Amino acid sequence: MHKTISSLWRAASLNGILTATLLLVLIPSLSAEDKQDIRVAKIRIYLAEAEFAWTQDGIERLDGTDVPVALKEETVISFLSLHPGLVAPESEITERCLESERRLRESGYFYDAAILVVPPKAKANERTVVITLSPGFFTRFGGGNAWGMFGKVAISGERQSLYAYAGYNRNGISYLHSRVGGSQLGLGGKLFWYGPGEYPGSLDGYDAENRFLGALTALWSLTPDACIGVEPTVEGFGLSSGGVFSLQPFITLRKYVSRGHDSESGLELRGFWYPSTESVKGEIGGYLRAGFTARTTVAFKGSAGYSPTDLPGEALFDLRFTEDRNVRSGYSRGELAASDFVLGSAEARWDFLETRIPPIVNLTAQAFVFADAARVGVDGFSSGSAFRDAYGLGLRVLFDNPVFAYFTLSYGINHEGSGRFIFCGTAGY
Amino acid sequence: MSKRVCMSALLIALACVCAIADDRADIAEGIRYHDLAEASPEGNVEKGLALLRPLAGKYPLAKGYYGSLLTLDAGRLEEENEVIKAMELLDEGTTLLDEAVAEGPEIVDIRFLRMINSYELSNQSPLNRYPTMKADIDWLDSQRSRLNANEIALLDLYRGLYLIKARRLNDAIAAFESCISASPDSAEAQSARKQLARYAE
Repeated sequence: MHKTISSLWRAASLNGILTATLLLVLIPSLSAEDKQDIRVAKIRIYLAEAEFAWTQDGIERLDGTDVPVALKEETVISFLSLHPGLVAPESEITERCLESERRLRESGYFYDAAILVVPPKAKANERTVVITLSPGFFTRFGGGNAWGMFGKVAISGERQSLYAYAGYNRNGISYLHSRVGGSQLGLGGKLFWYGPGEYPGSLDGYDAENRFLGALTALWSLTPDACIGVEPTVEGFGLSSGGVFSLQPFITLRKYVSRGHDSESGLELRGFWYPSTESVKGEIGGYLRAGFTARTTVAFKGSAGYSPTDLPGEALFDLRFTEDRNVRSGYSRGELAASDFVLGSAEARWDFLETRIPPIVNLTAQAFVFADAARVGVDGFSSGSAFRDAYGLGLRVLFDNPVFAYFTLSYGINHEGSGRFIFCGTAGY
Repeated sequence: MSKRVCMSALLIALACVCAIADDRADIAEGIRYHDLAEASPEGNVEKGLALLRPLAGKYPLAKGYYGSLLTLDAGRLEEENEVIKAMELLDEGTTLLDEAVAEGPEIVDIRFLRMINSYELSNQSPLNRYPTMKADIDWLDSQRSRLNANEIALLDLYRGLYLIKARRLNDAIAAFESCISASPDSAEAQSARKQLARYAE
């Protein structure tokens, strides 16, 4: 009996050694195979009834009809992180497919999107990618505390959007074509009238009623998730004021995080040059949203602003009214206006209700707790700074695809016990 | 006396049988219009709805087809840009299909209807009915021995489409191949061939 056990043990040990040896030999070869570069030879796009083949020679419609499609093929391509001729390890191509699929879905231009890599048969180092899409609903609705928004996206089948705003304290229009002529160039503009009622925004406290804001945008998309641009802006102009002109260069980046549920991070840098007062300021902000489960998320945001020159009152950083970059407690505007600041915010979010309002509106109700902490300086940190904080809870009502309207209500207090309710039209950072 | 009672009971039973036979004939006719409406909704939707509406409260089968006809009508309205009305019909039709399955979970026809409806809805609207589609696929798969060749082809076609969505391409290809071998000359096999061509290298 003992002999049997002993021989079994020896056999098992030998088996183990053999297995380990095999694994040691195989693992490097497996990972080497995984790291071996492959080439995306062709991308097939099925958009509703239309079929396109995209190769290095160009893109061609193959379904043999000229039935109009809701979206142009260059619009689809603009959301992708892959293209014919791309050479990368298979794992990276799969990652890029998942990323592109998520971007297509979240754009709201499509109801459904699937991107799959076809397993190779003839050429081991080449792949065909198949993209299947259903065009979505292109009308948009939204609103804030006393105004409503109605808009259209995908105008002419391109990445072109037009929104109109109307209400008690905000009226206006905004337009953006983020891929002019199918190129990476984006052009747009906006014009708002903050009236006839009082607007609780950054212009408040500066005779806000009946003031205007106008801006033009020119941008260049470096990747589907990164762009650089410049925005000449005139803020606060009206019959009695010429307003403040600033030139605002900016860079925005976004990165999908494959871990967790719909996690992502982002970064924005923006500079401001005020020629009339010869002053400048710069701002950087980054966020990380980590989805632990489909319903539980934590989000962090860090921002900092700096000005080496004296800023006019209207140009100070505003940490009271700026959506998604504010201290959400009962400080006055003066206490949250700064020429320099650092701000950290954190939120723990829980989607406690996901339901559908007939006929087809998806609604998510989200509860959250938050903490904001900032240090603000009015004449630079060297001349002294003040600590500002907020702790509180809030509720979001999020109407996702096909409505895309988001509302946030929060209440926070600071360490002095001073509180504030905020209602705004945002889904949070 | 007892003879009269027996005669009355017999007449009542006969009337019931006749009524049921009439209902069955109407349901069959309603289903015929439903099938015609899939290819050409104009006129056929209205005729099918008129026949099935009074029976939807009595028979799950009638309710299921009535619900499905409403979703077909929604498609027609959407093409005419009556989006809100189309969405209302879509919602009503889907709710009726769910009710029909709850009332008659063993009825194969309604399961097929809901499986197809769930796929179309998930694909063409912001609603996610893939979990419902999966439940119907699993149930129909468990009844495979009861299904005829055309029904197996239909099931395998939609199983393949579901597997594509689940990113299981090799399993999807096997499902499409199974669809073709079950009923090579069917419309489902033709659709499966198109899918296979789509995912060929």
